[in-house]
Amino acid sequence: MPDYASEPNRSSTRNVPPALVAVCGWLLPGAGYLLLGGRDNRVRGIIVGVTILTLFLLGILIGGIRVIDVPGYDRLGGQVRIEEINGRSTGRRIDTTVTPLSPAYETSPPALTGRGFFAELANKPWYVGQILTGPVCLIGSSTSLSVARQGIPPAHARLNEIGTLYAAVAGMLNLLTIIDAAHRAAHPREDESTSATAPSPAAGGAA
Amino acid sequence: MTVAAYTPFVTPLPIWDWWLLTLVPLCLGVAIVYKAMKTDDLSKLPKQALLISFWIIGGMGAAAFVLALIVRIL
Repeated sequence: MPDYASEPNRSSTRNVPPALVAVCGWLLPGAGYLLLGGRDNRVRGIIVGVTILTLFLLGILIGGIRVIDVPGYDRLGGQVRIEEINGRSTGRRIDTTVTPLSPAYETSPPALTGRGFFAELANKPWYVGQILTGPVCLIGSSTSLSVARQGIPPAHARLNEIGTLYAAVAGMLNLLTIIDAAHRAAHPREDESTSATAPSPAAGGAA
Repeated sequence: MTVAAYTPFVTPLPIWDWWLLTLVPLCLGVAIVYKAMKTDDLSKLPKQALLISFWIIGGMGAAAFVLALIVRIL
């Protein structure tokens, strides 16, 4: 049996606030584990980060950049607004896809910053999963909007759905890793003792 | 009829007839991340990730087969 206790750095964890680990995990997938320190956590962080980013990029490759459907923007890349006439909101959603453009469009507030925030998220729920991938999704969102303004339409049928699914699953997996890394940061001793005394009796068993 | 030129990452990948194959990398990715979190000994990760991918794909195939049978019979 290998002497795991003689490898102190194998899974040692630094004393890092769980909130910091969570934020770093969102900023760069896998970075939460890297912060924890120790060889195992470094390897884990790299594996997880590379896999999540690969899944996200595969989603964009399969369905095109327009799989990132940004809430608050219509399919032509224009802002969605909540109609406001004479300072009173009618609650009607207006966007640039309808011609002629509503005369109140220019003076109406954007849906994302006003009353339409939750309605916009409910219209595009996959984005909630995608944004969990981190700033890479924000870059993708900006690129998606600029491509939309150039008149490139989103893919139709299955490939769009599959690409959207890939990007959203990548974000959801990142959420799992954020929770796991933050938990390891909150319970460093428990994590160390598990690895040092019982290397992997259960891990080698059930898949 | 005009066919739009394929631009990587902008237009969809032209895999219209092989879309089912996109299941494989997704399952592999999910399995790798899941097992990386659960496994203490990371040297066993590749084997375990492959095994769990096999189970996911096999399970989905079995579910599809059963559903197809039900649809045909009913």
